[in-house]
Amino acid sequence: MIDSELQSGEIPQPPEPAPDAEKKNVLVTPSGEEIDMSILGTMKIDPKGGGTSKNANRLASFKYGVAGLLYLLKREQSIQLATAVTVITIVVGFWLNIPSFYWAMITLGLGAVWITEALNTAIEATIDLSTDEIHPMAKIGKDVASTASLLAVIVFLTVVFFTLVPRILDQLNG
Amino acid sequence: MARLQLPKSKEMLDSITGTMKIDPDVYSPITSTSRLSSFGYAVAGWLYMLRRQKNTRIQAVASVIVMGIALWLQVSLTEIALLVIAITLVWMAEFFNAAVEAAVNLATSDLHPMAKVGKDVASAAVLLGVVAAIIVGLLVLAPPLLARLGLIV
Repeated sequence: MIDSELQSGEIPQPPEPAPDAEKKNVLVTPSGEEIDMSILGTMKIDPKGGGTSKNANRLASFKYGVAGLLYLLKREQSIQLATAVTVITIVVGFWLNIPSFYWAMITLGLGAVWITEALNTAIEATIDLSTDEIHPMAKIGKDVASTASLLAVIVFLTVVFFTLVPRILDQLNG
Repeated sequence: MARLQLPKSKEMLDSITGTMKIDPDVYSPITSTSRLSSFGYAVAGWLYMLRRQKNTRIQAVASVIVMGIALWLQVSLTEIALLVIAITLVWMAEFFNAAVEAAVNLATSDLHPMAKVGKDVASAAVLLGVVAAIIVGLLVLAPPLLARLGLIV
């Protein structure tokens, strides 16, 4: 659908505003579906219309999450690296006997790294699913997603710099 | 609007300055015209999540309860800041999860292994966020809560 839109090179325009939608900003897709573009429009869309399998209950969501985590641990080198960094950080934290406030900061920093790494992988999978071609927008999607991971790593390093590094130096200087 | 401005070469795509030369507006059917409408889309997405995703509603209640407990225990402002960041992390992961799910559903209506990878890994991000938030919540709230309940002196 998107592909044909691009090929014809036309932006779908609402042909003429329907009488009941003069103020509402309605967009008509090439297949004739109306999309309400107002702030209240998005929540009128029922996600159950799309998608192949329905998420039955909370326990199933949890199971999918664990399944995704196992996939990450097995397949993603960056997650394996993140695991190693996490273990080292925890060991160093216990060695330095840092206060719980620092633990909380480090948890947030590491959490951001893990989350962005997982979302990066998810977005990569989605892009690989949607096209086999080399497409500039595929490159933007993947590059920008990995920028998010990079930003999270910078945040984590900043947290380490202000919490752990001074204490490590103290410890080494006696 | 051209169908595709195919990259001049693979080298251009691979170079570090290649990505920023790509103009996304060329490929997007609708481009956001103003900052105000971007904000409107964000609010629309939020309303969508609250109406359509039960998990988000549960999360909203949990967030209010956690902040309520924090205020009741009168934890310090820096600790409240930590809790806010932790809660935000979970919300962000949850919203990205829904966005990835929508993108996967849009990309294909078949059952495809990469569709499963995309969805499962995105929900792993939420799980990671929840784990991080629980750890931060325990670190910040557990000691004053136990003290308040008289379990430790």
